Amino acid sequence: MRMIKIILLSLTMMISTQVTGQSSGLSITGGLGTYDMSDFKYYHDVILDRMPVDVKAGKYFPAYTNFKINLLRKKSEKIRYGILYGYSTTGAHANYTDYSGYINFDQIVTAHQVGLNIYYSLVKVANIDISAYGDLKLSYINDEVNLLVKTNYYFNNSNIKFNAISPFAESGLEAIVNLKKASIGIEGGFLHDFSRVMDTDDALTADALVNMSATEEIQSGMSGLRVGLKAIFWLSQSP
Amino acid sequence: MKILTLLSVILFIPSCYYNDMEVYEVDITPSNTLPISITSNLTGNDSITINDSLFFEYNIDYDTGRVYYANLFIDDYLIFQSDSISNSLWINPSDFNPIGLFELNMVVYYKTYSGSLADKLNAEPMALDTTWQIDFYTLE
Repeated sequence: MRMIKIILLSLTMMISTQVTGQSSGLSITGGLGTYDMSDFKYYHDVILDRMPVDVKAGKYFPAYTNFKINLLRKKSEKIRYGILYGYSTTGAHANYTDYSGYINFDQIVTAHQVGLNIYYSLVKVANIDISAYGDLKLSYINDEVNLLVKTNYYFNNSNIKFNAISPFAESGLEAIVNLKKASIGIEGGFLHDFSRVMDTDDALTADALVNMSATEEIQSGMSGLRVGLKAIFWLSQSP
Repeated sequence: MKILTLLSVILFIPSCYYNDMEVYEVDITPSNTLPISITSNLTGNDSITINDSLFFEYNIDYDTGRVYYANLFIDDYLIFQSDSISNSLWINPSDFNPIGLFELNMVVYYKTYSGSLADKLNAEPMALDTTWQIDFYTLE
């Protein structure tokens, strides 16, 4: 709770500062994230065990899309800071198909993050800049679970949602090449999810083929590595 | 250009969901085919001619298998439905006024035990039907 208050307070302070003045810019980082999701994997297996047939699991929460948009301001040659929006998604899929019909069991996890970040330049050689960065974010995590069963005489489509708001912290390195009005480069680091218990509404699963409720609490657990390509568009350069 | 880039990123967000459509196909080879048969008090009679009520009694022999239900038709007209493996009824011609040659048709829906998904969900009924020719006539 304390972490959430710190992030909210910092966000308010950041937003109230001018970001469109001199030495401000917009950066877009897009790439992949890995995700721990151990509780979600366990939940996936529990549901599959309840199926009347041998439903095969595919990929369990693999490395998938992760990107962030950052409004930033250069405080000095060494320090940049800003506010950011981040987005991550992953999921799990299981299927059983025979001549009579099929079962699809899917989880799609998305995380929308807002927060603030700071970059500190470590090395600058010519127009190449290597910086360390840190992000503090609040994330709304949503897991949409869908169980679809379809045969000629039986059809059932059941959904259940889990969601939580969890604080994230990320740190890593950025290497960029500074061009005239933009910078391009790569960025990578580790994101730590402080993990919160996912809330749900079990009532939605009353008519499902199998009981879709979790036997134990599910923690958000989106920790993992983040890597991506980055582009910074300088809205205005320092003189 | 900057606005265009930002706009394209924002438009990209909703389509950026995890997506996996992999299919795990299972070949079903039915291992358990239980024999099923229908017998009735009319069995063995090729031609049944009646001018009064007809007593009809049937028995479905499906070993340990499950019978969902049985329908009894006179031509396409449903006259009886039951989920019992043996039952009986009186067929009274005056109830539906048939005169002439008709088919008494019994259709039994039973579980296949094929092992398929639909079978596991009791949603794969197999049908077996038996027909008797009946000539209803009236005494003038």
